[in-house]
Amino acid sequence: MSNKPLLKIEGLKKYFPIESGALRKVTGYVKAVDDVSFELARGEVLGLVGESGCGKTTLGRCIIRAIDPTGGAVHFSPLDDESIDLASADKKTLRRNRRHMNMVFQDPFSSLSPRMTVRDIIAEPLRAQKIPESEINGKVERIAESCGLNPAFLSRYPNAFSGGQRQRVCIARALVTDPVLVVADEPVSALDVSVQGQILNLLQHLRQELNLSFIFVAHDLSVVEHIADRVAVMYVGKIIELTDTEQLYSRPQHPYTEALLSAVPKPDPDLPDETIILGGEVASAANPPSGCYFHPRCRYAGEICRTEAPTLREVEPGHWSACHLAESLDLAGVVPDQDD
Amino acid sequence: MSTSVIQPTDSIESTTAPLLEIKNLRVVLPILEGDLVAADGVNIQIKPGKTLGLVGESGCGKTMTAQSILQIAPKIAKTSGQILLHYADRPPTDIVALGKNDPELLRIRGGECAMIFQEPMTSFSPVHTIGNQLIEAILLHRTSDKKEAREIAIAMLDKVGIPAPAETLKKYPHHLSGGMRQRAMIAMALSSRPRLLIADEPTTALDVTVQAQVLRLMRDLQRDLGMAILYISHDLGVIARMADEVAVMYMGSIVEHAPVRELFRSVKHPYTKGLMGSAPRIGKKSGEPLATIMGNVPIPINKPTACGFFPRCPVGIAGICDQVVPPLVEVAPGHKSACFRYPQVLAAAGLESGTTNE
Repeated sequence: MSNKPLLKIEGLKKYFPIESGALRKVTGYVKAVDDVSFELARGEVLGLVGESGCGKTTLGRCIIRAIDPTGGAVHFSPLDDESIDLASADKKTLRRNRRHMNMVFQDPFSSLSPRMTVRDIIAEPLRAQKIPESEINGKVERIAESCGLNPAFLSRYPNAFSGGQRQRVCIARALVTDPVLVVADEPVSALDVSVQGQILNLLQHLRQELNLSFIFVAHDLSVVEHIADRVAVMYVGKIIELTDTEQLYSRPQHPYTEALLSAVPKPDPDLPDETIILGGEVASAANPPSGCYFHPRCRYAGEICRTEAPTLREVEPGHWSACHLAESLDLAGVVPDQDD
Repeated sequence: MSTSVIQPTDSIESTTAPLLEIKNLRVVLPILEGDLVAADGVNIQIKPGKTLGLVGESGCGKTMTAQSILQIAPKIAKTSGQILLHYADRPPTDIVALGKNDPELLRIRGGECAMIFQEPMTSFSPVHTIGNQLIEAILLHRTSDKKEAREIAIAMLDKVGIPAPAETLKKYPHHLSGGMRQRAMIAMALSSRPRLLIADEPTTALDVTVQAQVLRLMRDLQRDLGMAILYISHDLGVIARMADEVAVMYMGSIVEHAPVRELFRSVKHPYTKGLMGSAPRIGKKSGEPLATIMGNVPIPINKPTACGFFPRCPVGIAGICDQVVPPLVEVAPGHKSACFRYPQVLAAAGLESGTTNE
């Protein structure tokens, strides 16, 4: 195995034009993903967190070219030797590489065709890859079993399955082509708590068994902490902090991360409520504020924050933050439980 | 933890008279496959100024129970039992017994008992301004003077922290962000000065920072206005922060009921324990698999003849749990559980104990 990262993303951008008037003149852009760069190692799970509208879903989709990015590069090295730029690859190259990457969506009800049997749904990516029909059944059954689906039920339609089982079908479909990269967009948010735990355990297990790399998009910080090796926090289209999970949760280096972590309600009534209440609302990606996008809500903001846009820089080895004041602030992370 | 001493005020059976008392509530929905029992003998009490948290997964009957209090459950639902709304100066009203157009019911619904919902976008009418909807509610329950109603509306929006309240009155719901819409809905619910606020997953659709704002707001308002809250959620973190007492529902029945500290300190039902193990806890990365509950939430069709949790239960006792419905009884001071692992539950069901209690 080489040390080359599986993914190297450089300056990835996705701008959606704002059109107005009868002539649909472009009057501005929503910068949904704005100049994002990071690397993903082989076998790594990167959590992508942020509030709704921060661009985390768009980023996930741009990476695997579900939508076309406006600019930037996504260097993808599924096999050790070759590396392709997914952002600029032509249709043929993309199609050839589709089997190395796949996606799991949030809603297991709308992402499965009600008119296909579960067997056909899981086999679809194989057929798209022109895998010989004789190999398909074996592959489908093997992956279905790894995902905890009873092969006897494969001839049924999705409506016969519960939410958790449907999500297992979605996962099986994403993994049937033996991909190296899976982008999972809120894969457990639509599920009941008890089922959510089962799916998280399944993803953990599959990840080890198949040596998968995940980009795990979620808004639930406890779920991301559980599954991710590293976490990137997004705010208004930009990554504002990126580091190892434990480091991020125990010693955040960006005031937004600190506020996010403090806002998660902990299942312990004895803990004092130390939530940092952020004033105002998430800035608009169509009309962001000057300087640091977070400064109007930041309790530490100084003069420089209002005027100068910060860049994502390495404030400690392996810890990237886009805060001018990162070194001078002493931010609070999650206090570990005292019990047990 | 060794602190198991419970203060007398912590107990469920405290001396304060309840504001709302639900007695043996049963809600049945006749559907094609049989009778869907959404609530099966639910008994809960809500005390003035306190918050009762109602916890459970989708389909466990928590929303149906709440809707029954306002008689807004689906039309096909057959409700029996009693929902008593108590007064200081007159005998209680049984909401279940009120007719659909009883003026008493119309006074209670949205008046003495108000409700806020999960999705603020679908609970507001998209074709009327926030002001119209808010003032309509105030005219129904508070005053008949339009000018005064407008003033109350502005004061309420101000109270829930909406900037420029007079401007907001002219806006339509889609002009507001999710958090602001939820604030407007809270303003509408509280404009009638209710004694009981029913909050059905009010922050589930919100981002975590906005959720924190709304939770803080609800607690501040409760402190200022002294209303009781029935807080429905599947999120134990939110419940820990909001509730004084917690009732856990599974398949239409309350399976555990305790003061909030007691519940989180010493869980006494395997379902609650499973719920707590299923959700990863922040600040606790272990790398170990989560202790989840196997299987799925079943749909409660027809009357249960055994413990509904038995098929998924890791500690179920064959021959007992799959034969008899466990009653909800006190197994520790102020702490009720419906699990045959406790001798008190066995005794209450008329079964002998000793053989099963390890």
